[in-house]
Parts: sequence; structure tokens; C-alpha cells
Amino acid sequence: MKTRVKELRTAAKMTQQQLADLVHVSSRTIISIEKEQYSPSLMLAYRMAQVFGVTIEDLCCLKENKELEDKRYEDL
Amino acid sequence: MKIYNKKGFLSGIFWIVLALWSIIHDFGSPNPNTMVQIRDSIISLFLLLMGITSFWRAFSKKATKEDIVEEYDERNRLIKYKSQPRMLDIAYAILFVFMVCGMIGYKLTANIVWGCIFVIPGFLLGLFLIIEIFVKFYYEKHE
Repeated sequence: MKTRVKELRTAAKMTQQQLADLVHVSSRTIISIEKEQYSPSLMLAYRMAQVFGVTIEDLCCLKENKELEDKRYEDL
Repeated sequence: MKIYNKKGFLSGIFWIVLALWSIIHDFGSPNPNTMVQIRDSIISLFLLLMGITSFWRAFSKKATKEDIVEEYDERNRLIKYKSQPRMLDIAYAILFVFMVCGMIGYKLTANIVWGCIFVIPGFLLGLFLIIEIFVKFYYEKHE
């Protein structure tokens, strides 16, 4: 799933380890989220959204991801 | 010194005791085969290092926090939840192949060894299937 984690983290001048420590996960989880290999749980998304001061919808690009998903279903 | 990670502390003691027992056994009654002796010594050393690491980390607040984060990390859990069923799928496939080979071998040779190769995987596959049904029932009811 596409997220804005990398963009917001770099804007906040934060390392992956620092973000991982703040949201109580391993740095590998943050790396996977940034590589769009892993979709964070609702609670983790909420924690990260709180760290960056944005909404979950904004952080996880929910509108964009929903449109992509809807398009995939339409193509079936 | 305060113990922060009791689980790690106990597992560290367990591995150290096991390694020491293995080392005493290795050197008390050495294996005539040098290669086996070397292999056993390497395993004992590995166990000892694992035990010392686990034991030492139990006294460190920072290391304990790292261990807890690793244990509860949601991605690690997802990997665990995905890898265990995959491992079972592979085990099923291997057992099935053994069962079929055993069946064919027994049919062709009437040798009891092939019969065993057919019966044991067959029994295990049946057992796994029954356990899987019960586990599914449990989660259907509780999730």
C-alpha cells in the first residue's frame, strides 16, 4: 500500500530508527512500509499519524489507494 | 543487578547448562570419529554463546526493550503467521510424496520397508488433517 511515511519522515528530519522507537516497532517494519511491501495495522498507522500530526487518511493516501483498489476490481 | 527479562534469563541459564553438559560429555567420553567430535564441539560452543548472550541481555534494560519490540513487532508476527502455514504446506507435500513412493514401492517389491514408508506418512497426514479440523473449529467459534 502506498503511504506518505517516507515523505513525512524525511520532512521531519527523522531516521527510520527514531520513528520506529516512537511507534514501538522495529526499523525493518518502517523500511517495509516505506518500500510499500507491508501495510501497517490501523493502530500503527494511527501512531505514525500522531507523530507527524496528520490524519490516517492523509498518511496512508486512503483516497488514492481506494481508487486504485476499485479500479482493480473493475478490471476483473 | 536487576533482571529485566526473566524469560531471557531462564532460557540463557538453560542453554548454558545444556552447553556445559555437552562440553563435559564431549571431552569426558570423546567420539573416536574426529569429524563428529569437531561437529559436537562446534554445536556446544554455539549453544554456550547463545546462552551467554541471552543471559547477558536479560540484565540490560535497553536490550530487553529491543527484545520486547522485536517480539511484539506486527510485521514479525505477520511473517510468523505466514511462514508457519507455509512450512506445514511443505511438510504435507513431502509426506504425500513419501506416502505415494511408499505405496508404489510396496506394490512393486512387497518389501516391508516400503510399507513403512507408506504407512507412517499416511498416518501423520491423517493426524494433521484431524488436528487442522479441530483447530479450524476452535477459531471459527472464537474469532
